Amino acid sequence: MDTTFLFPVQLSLRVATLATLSSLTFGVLAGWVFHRYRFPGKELLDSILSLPMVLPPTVLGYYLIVLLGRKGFVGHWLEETFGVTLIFTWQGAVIAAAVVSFPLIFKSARAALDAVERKYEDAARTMGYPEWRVFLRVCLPLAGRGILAGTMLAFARAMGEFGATLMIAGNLPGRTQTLSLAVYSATQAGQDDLAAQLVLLISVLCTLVLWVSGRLLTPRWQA
Amino acid sequence: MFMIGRTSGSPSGAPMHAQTPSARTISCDIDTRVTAPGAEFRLRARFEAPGRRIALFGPSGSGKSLTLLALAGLLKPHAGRIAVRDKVFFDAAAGVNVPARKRNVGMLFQDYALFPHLTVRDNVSFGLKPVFGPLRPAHRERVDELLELCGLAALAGQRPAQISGGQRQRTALARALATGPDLLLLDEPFTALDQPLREKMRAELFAILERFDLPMVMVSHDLDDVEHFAQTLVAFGQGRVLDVVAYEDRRRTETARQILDPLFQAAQSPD
Repeated sequence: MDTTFLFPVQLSLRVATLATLSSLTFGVLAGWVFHRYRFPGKELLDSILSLPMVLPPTVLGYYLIVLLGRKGFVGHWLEETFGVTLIFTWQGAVIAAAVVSFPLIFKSARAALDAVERKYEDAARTMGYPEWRVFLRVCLPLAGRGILAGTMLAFARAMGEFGATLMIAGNLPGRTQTLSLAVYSATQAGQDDLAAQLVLLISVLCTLVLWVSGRLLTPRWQA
Repeated sequence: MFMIGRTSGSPSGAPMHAQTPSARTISCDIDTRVTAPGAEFRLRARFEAPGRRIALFGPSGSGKSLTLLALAGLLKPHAGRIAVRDKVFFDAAAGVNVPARKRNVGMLFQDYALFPHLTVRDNVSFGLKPVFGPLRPAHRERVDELLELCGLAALAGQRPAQISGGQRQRTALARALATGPDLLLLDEPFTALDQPLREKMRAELFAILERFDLPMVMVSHDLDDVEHFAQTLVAFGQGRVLDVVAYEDRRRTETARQILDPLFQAAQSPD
């Protein structure tokens, strides 16, 4: 198999994995903060954090360019301080995929944590557990299935990311061309065989991911 | 601290050590509001209760369970003061609020709140688990002893969903006792059981507790619980404390009904 075929596959897997790990960390943390604390503007902030789920990806791409581009607030600072540019790099694609997949984990983590009955947390507190241990030993295991389900969706979303990735990372073959972009390019260029192979491969990969995580999700205990 | 089956000072006898009165008293004077969607409940509970076995008694919705939560540190009152046996747990005026985890109070929840994802053994050893690594040998031994004492040794590997209601209650009790609490709180410990089992569990539970020289506070609306348990009775009604009764003393000359009926009536009647 040639590199035009393999590169987009491995790039997509790398981008989706890194993006999912990042939204898993931030999504669960944010979900916990929303579960645990009350503060003014909480529901408004929830809506803002969930926006990437409903906004068109191109709009997100626009926001990211405004933020991370050379003249952007964060992008300018990054370039000045570290000499780093994110535009037209695969790292930019990771950021795009992380942003679109974040709300899927945040939303399901918050719902799963809210569904953990308070008595379990209280029981741990009376047994001397500080809040972070209550979270690790009680909340996470009891909310684990919901969080994993959200993670699966987030990974699938990150794998399929197109619009925001195109705007921030471009469609550079061998550099930033992910699978979904490669399928688009191949179709546009009339390379129907390549497109078909890519489509087949991504379908098998995604089925595999869903099947494996579905097996992991089967509970070993019942409430 | 980790002795099981201390036999000194049987719970039914008088306290054996000479102590100052406040050292054996639970004093509570709290004022708080609890809001649920569409409802607000005002609790003003003020009492001084001596004795090793205190029953908070009253109809449901009278504020006794909330008072228990406040004692455990799981509910922060808006105002007031809570002191248990000379230790100040809460003092709004002084800005003191000892968090639940530092009160060293064991709690037996109404429906036990056993962790469904953990085995009976892991539930019982939960409070002794270090942040990293396995249990210390002394703690392991204590867990084994507790499982044995509560008749759970054969079930140690089961999960809560796999055992009976009575076994769940004993697991919850063993879990609450494992950390060596200074005070044990029991929230309606028998309501989750059906009637014939209730009698049996009451006898079993008190037999286990008798081996621990532990002060206890129990919330109940059940006459039989009070009869079996209470040294001191704190009667609740409509979010207030109606009376504190030296139940054990008065039972020597009065019947249970003579003591409790007026309290029932007072709890029902509006202000």
